[in-house]
Amino acid sequence: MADREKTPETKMSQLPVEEVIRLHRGLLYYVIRPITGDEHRTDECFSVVCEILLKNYDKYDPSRGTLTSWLTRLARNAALNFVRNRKYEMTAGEEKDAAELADLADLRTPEDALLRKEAMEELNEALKSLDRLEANILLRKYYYMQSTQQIGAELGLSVRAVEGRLYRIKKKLMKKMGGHDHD
Amino acid sequence: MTDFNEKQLEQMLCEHLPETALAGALTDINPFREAVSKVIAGLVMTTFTLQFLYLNYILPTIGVMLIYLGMRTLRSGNGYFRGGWLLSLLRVILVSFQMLVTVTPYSGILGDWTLWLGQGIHLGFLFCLGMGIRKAGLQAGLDHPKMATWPVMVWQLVLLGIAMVGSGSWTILILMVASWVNLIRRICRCADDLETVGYGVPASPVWFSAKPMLLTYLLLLVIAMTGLSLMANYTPVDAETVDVSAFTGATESASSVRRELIEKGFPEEMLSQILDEDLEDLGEVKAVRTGDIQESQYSENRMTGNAAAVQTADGRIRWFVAYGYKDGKHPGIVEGVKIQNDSEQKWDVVVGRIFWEKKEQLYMAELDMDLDTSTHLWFGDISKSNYCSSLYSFPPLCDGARGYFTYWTEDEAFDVTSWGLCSTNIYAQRKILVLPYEDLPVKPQGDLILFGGFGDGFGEERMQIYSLIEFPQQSVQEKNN
Repeated sequence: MADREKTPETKMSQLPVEEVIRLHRGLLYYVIRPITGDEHRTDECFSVVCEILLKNYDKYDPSRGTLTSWLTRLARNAALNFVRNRKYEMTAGEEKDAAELADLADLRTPEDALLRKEAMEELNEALKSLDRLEANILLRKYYYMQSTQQIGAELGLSVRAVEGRLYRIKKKLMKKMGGHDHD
Repeated sequence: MTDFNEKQLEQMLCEHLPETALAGALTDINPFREAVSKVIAGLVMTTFTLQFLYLNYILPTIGVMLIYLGMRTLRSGNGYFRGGWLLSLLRVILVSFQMLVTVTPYSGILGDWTLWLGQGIHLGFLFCLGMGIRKAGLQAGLDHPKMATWPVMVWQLVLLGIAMVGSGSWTILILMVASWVNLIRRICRCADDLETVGYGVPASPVWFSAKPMLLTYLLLLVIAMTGLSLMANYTPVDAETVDVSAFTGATESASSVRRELIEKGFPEEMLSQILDEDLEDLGEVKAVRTGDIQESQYSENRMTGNAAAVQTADGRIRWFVAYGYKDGKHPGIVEGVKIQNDSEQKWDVVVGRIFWEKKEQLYMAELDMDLDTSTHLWFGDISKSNYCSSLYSFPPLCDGARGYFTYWTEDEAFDVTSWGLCSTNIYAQRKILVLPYEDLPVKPQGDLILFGGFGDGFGEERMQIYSLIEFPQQSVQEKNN
């Protein structure tokens, strides 16, 4: 069997999909786990992701991005759909960050297309002002949907430090975009 | 500008991050990149040994702390990572201990054993790190995960072996540079290995963020080292108040001696700084000679001084060496004086005094003067010198710091006593943090050394007053008469 350590990225996509899944199992679980919440649903979600990969692996185009980024997006979207479809099964008291954020990701506001485009441009400009650490925290929180505990552990920050930085990052973005901080 | 709220911002972030300027950083999210970066940076820093700008202290100190902070995140991964974390903590403790002891007079206890202990801990850490990566690879389903740090350990030992062989040859230097380059390459490859298998290893939560912890550690270490350095160097003296009348010939005998000295050419300014009690035993003065300030004095910056010699009727010579600061301020944290002359001239009654002012009161302290001898080479001949030395510190925030030293010399072969030699070195150590600790060189530096007074001085400031003073020759018969 191929060893991921010895296989360059470009050759990875030429491997059988089963081999790709085996070599990227850690990455897939890493993306899925924060979204699904517990190990049982994570394993179930992983099975779903594997099915999707088997069906769509031939659609991967190396010229559009790396295999790692393609797998990451696919796993994330699959996990979000999984959570949305099963959110009514969540019991009270569980962390609902992932489900809430998944809902937020799916909301369609009544703003028209032009306002949305303008907001996106402002957001893009505002995001350019973030430093490396701020961008890292933002991606972990809103794309990978990781908990503040996980973010802090992986970045060597305390939970309070992560919460404080997130608060300041959002303030900074809203200020640059001319927003206000009440719902 | 668009009007929106936090919830709408979060919605946009969740939905559109892949389309924004951060899209390129999506796959930079890795559970151990931060931790691995710290460990690798720490390994590189602890590999360097640069002997300038105190980098041989700074880099290893920061490096071991970075390794610890990186391993802190990995410690829950498996037993090997935990072992590596504990060893990294041990190394932080060892380096901290070394830094603290280095600024004290006990730095001599830091012998080879600390070097070998540090290397042993480092190799143990590399072993644990490599085995931890291997075990994480097995857990991640890799078929043949390798022991990633074996090459690093091998090159570390090669580098150590070359350093022990040590010689100034170009071959050794080239070998060392090549070994060091290979070591760095192997260390960086470890980083790639850990990132590969890191997805399956849980990160450990931390109570304190890495950067504040590192800065706090460094700050506390510097404060502790500075405090210990001050305690090791500052040498307080027993102060007593003194009245200005003690310098003005209050008694009949003192007044008479002062007049005679001035008549014979003793510098008035210098004489005004000497206590009456150090003049009263002079007896009849035959001649006075003073040093040539321009020729005899060597002062690197703020000190100034001179020497004067008084030949008495019994043929002995009384030396006075006085010094002060050009601006009246800024004595060192600790000062030291070393006076030496030819051993054929016997020493007697050596007195050292320092003076300073504080809150308009004049203070004086009499110094403990140590007498010693040393043997050294002088233009191919072995000769002996008498040494007289003392270490002392002026109180902080004082004005008008100055001092003088006075002693008798006598040459048994009196009829050839036509000259007297006085070499005085005064050192002022101004550094609050002296790293590594080093005594001011006021003691003889060995059994057989080059003649002192030329170039054996060190320290932040040194003033040398070297005076070869010639007197009229006097025969033994004249002396007895």
